[in-house]
Amino acid sequence: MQQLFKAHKVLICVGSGGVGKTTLSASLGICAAQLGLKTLVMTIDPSRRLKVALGVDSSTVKPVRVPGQKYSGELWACLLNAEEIFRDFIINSSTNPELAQQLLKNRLYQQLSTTLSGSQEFTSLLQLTKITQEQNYDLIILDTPPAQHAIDFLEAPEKIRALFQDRVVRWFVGEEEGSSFIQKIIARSTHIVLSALERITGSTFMKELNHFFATVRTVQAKISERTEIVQEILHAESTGFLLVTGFDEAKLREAEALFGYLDSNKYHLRGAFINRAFVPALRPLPAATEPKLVAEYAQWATFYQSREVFFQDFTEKWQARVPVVRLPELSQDTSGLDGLEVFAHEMGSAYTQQNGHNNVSTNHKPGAERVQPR
Amino acid sequence: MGFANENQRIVFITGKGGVGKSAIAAAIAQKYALGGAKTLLVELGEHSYFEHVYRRPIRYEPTEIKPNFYISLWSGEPCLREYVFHLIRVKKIVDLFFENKIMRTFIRAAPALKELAVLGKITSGIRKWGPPLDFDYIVIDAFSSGHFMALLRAPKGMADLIAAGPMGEQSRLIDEVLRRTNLCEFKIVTLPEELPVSEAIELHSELVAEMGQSAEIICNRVYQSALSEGDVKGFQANTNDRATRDFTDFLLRTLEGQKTNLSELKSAHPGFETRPFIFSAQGLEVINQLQLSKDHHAATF
Repeated sequence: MQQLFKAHKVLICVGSGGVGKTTLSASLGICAAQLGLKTLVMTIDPSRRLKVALGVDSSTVKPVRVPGQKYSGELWACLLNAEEIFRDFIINSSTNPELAQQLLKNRLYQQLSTTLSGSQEFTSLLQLTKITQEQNYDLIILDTPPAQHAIDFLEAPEKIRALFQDRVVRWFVGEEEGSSFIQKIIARSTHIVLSALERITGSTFMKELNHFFATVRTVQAKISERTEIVQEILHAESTGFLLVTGFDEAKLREAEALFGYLDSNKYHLRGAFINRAFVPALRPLPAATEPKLVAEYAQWATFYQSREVFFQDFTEKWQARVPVVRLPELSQDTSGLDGLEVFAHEMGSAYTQQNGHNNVSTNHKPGAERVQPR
Repeated sequence: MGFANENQRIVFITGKGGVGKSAIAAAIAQKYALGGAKTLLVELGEHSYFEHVYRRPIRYEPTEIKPNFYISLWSGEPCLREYVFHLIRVKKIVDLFFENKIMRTFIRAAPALKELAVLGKITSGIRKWGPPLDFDYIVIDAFSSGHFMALLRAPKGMADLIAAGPMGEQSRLIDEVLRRTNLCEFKIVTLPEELPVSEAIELHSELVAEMGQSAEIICNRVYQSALSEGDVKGFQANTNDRATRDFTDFLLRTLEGQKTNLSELKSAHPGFETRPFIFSAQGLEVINQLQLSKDHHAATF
């Protein structure tokens, strides 16, 4: 993993909800710190136990040094609080403090800063750019918000930037009109569309909307500037994407769609982790075993074996490009920093093994013995 | 206040990501349909999962899968379009509205607009608003916990924001439907694991506090072993074989972990239901087996 860590300043863990992104991000952080790097893990909404393990709570927006660590490097962690980051950003980047205050009080803005509109995604990237520019860490690992689809995460900044762009603002506050023939036609259709909007929403909404766009101007310049930096960082050679996926047909299908998306949008994909892919404890039992226990074993073994089919398809398709790493289902809970270290160790060795396998590109054929992949 | 059609029932299925919401939602919908109720299973979002499961195209308009059982995919834009058309009624203006580049940008990013439209569609049968939605049950395979609560908060937020005007009025009515216990019910799916259990308990109290709605909790993938812990321990004591020891260890840890998490859940919600771990990797087989599985009451654990 050393190579992976050394080649990157930022690693972003993407994947759909419930696949273990947060735990994986934290474990990656441990691996990196063990290899001597000063590492920051930026997490969103971790479990109570993970918070305890990392020594963070909801009030720690600033990075804290994770307590109880004995690494040659350093492990730091922070929580991302969308509302707070957004508010700080507005206040710090506004050209007019009074307008900034008005914007913060605007009720449409308040709706905008809830989780629905992608503000969590947007703000975590805002924070990433800020911390990257401060250059306090060798490596930053970013956990991404629990979105329905991981693609939302990458599209959110552009969505929000588009809303704040000058053309949109001018259109809504009615400065697009001119006197040329074309402009008049545009103005006419604008009028129809705006009055349609008023008919479906009502005049109070329109007033609030107008106020929103009038005050938004104060942060407009900074928003476009920051979104550009976000895109630069996301596309940099030193920023790697790691895909985390669950181990069933639907999750793998989603993962594949995401793979394609990252690829066609020129993000640098550096690895895929399939979480809970196998159970190390499932190995064939000796012939003389009690039949009841054999029956129980067969049930589990067949189950994991049947999932192998999906995994094989996925692996064959992608392993020529990036390491595809399978992580074990660990039945003991990964609690505390010790528990995370166990998981981190498993992950580190699985990655190294798979990466080597990848480099020599031997092709394993699927078979019955593949239930236990080692 | 009475609504135009109080015979329809909306069932929301939510829970942490990865707990099997979709499979449980489909199993519940299939069960209703088999019992003779005309049932619509609704997926939210841009992409259909059930399309792959049932191998039929799933679109905005209901697709009939089997008698009484239909599936729809409702995403924000078509719901909003339907809503706008219902108010404006002139197709040309509606087209102009949705083709306008700036309006598109606005709709893509505007907070709560699409969410309101989706909830408007979900509750439209009860309110008899817009095109008819002739079903006994609407089963929603909804977003995961955090996003789901944000979705439910949207109508109230919008109603508070714009008291006057059509959108304020609609928002108020949608919110009212969501709070009516005889019209909407909520099911939280969870797993016998730490994180899903704590998220389910938290979500349940948020639903009670903010929506005045209780929810049934369904613990999915509960492993029902033919062997008792005692049996497994017996086998373990009688062997020197590494593989056997590891496997029995695995079984014991699974059973113990499960017991801990189920009792955690039980202390908060004694009445929760369970569904068995289905040893299959095929989506449809899992759904069909879940549909047939008996509701094991928590008391059995």
